[in-house]
Amino acid sequence: MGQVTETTTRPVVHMEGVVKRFPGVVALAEADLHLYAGEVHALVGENGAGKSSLIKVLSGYYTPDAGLVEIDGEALHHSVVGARRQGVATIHQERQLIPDLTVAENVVLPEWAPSGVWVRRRELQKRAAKTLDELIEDVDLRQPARMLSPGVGQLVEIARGLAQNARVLIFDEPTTALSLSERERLFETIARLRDAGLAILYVSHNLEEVQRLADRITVMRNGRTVETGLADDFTVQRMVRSMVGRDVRALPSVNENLGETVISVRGISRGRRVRDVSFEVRAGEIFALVGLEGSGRTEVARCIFGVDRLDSGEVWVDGKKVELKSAASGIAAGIGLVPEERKRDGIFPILTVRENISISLLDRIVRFGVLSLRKDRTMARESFEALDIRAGSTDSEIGTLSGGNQQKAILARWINRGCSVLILDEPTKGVDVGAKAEIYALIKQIAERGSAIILISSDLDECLPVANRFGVMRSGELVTVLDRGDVTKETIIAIATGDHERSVT
Amino acid sequence: MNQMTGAPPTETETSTPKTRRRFDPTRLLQDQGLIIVVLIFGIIMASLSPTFLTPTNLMNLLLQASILGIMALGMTFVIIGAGIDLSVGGIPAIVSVLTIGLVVRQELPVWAAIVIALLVGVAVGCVNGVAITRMGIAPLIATLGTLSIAIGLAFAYSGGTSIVPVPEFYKALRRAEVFGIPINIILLVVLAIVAHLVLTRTAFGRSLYAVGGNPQAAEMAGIRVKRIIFFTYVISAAAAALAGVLFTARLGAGSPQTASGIELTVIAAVVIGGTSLFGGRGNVLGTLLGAVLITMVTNAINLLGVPTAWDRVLLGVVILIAALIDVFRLRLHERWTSRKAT
Repeated sequence: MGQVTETTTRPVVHMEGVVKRFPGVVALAEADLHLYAGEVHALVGENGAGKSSLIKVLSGYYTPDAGLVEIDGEALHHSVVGARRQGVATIHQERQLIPDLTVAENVVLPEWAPSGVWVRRRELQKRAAKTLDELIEDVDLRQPARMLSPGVGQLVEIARGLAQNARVLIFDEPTTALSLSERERLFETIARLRDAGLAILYVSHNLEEVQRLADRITVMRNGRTVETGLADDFTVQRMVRSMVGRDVRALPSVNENLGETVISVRGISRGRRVRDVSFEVRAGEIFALVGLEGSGRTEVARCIFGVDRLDSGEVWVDGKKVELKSAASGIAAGIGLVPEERKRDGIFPILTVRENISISLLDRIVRFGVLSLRKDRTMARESFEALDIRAGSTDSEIGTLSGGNQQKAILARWINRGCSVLILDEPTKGVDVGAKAEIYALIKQIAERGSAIILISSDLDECLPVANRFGVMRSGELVTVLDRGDVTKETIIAIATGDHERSVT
Repeated sequence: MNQMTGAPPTETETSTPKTRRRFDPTRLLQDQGLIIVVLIFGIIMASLSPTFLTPTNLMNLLLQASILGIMALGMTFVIIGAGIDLSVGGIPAIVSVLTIGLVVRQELPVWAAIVIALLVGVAVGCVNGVAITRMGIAPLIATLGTLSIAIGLAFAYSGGTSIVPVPEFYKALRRAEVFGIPINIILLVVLAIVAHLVLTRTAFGRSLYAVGGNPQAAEMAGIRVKRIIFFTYVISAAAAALAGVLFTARLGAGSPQTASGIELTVIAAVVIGGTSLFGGRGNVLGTLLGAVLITMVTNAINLLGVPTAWDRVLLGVVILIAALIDVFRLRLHERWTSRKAT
């Protein structure tokens, strides 16, 4: 860990009293940040706490309404190009590479021809290789960026920052799209860059990651930086308390009151990702489907729901065999799915929250072909109260809501419909700490009302306390089903990894 | 904060939901900024030409806007579903030559010829729908193909010339009025009301907005996406086929050149009316205003005695101005809401 004290060095980034207002909201209200060379500084906070806004100010994307921003004692030029010239580079959560340019072209972007008009390919590759070689071995500089895995793509983005002589690297949720091994490599790279004297701002939801990686931590809440301190002084518990400003409710315990078998999955297979998977879930039960990313959990969910066709096998719900042809047929059989990729598969960003809630229930609020707007509004209002959805109104566009509130709206869809089986794929992904606990409480409520729940989660700490049983998947197969009593985090990891040296974080 | 646009929850947010919006004068602008353009254009025209505001001219203007409007209503469905339909430029031609040709050459009764011609028009829409939803051909390409096929068949059937004489029915249709209002305008108004109700008050309409806004999420929410998209092309083709009959009455001949090149004007009317080419947004009132505005441009050229060649230039300018106002009114709305918040 880099040793930094506030008194000895001058900070590379000096932000003080930064304010940024938007119509209707104050994104930053008095935010301070001191970032030193040779430290990894983590920025944590709930969704909407102001982390993104702070990054955008620092990277020149936003011009603050008030406050001081200095890089190396010089006032920051508030434009993207200006900030880049002053040595600030950002590695975004979503990939920012241009897919059809080559790796080399992406690294030197946009200075392809520093001395004139013509792009000299060999010189360009030499320049790219110089920075890229420090980060990664044997990557083909001539292949299009489209071909890169998420992890390598990210290293190319880092190289781009270094090629621009960046002294400040901002990482915005960098691990979301990475596999475990890619994550490890990224952490090593970040540590190396820190040791080389760069100032690193690391923004993440994953507090364990933060604790492992950061030298210092700054916590944001409601647009303010509420606390900064050495990482060693923070526990995850303390970070959470500081982020939320109150104690988070403990996760609920399990429902012991189980009913009949609701869903019976019998030997389903599809390609290589789902191989002969069988299990049953009873009414009121929460069945957790765990395993590494890519082990086939999401694919099993999609097959049961009907979006992907089965090669073989059967699914029975409430004692009847289900003809699975499409999501619509799954829904007709009483199955609901909260998808992992909320933005892609879940929400309709430009429709209202109300319309997003009722979209899977149109058949319920229609009479003689005509929608009852009154029922529609009532349902939305009741859902807002029951689930504590926070938005300007039921007619706000759902795209303007935080991840947690969007997720609650999608849950409201299925709660209002009343499913026999509800499948939740990473229900707390991109959801802030406070809302996570609320969402788990809701899931448990749904189970208690007699639904069978299939819960897919990568966060074992989250699903261990709530699930009745655990199905562990590996390479498309359901390897074991464990009872609650027999389970520890270690046993699951050991089974999921097949005794490889990898570990689940 | 995962999404860039996410409004951070702050103290200004309330957990008690409100279903009614507070009154916001920019809201109307936000929804229908086009009204302003139409009004301004009207005021300018009224001051330039004394005949503009006469009831005859206004009625004439509406009459001219009616057929374009009917086609644009159909196109609105397609574009809300994030599609595009070029074939509407060919459907009126084939409908026109069939409605007259089947009577003149095959000696069918007038009603039978109309029914057959309309069915052929709708069939073009079905082909579009199948090509796009079942075969996965891009809408632009699929309908470009059927556009060419429809026009080509119209020419082949008619031998390249207008088919005359038109039966009495069409002369009557051209002159038909209800309470002194031409039948075309009545048709437009009735169809607009129906289209509005379908879009806002039926499961099909709601699903269509969802499909256009995010087709993947629509699939996952249990909407039969392909079926919805298919029907939008059928609706658009049906509107174009009806337009073919009305055009025939107006022209007094069954011509393979009927409405030639109208597809881009129809699309322009819909897009000027605020329907997003990316899908998921759009409404009937905007489309009507778009059709009226486009017709006003042609009308202005006639009234002011400008050579007709200029109407495409002026139309282009109006499209750009309408788009500019679109940008401007959004900013105005933002400013208004931020003033309210502080």
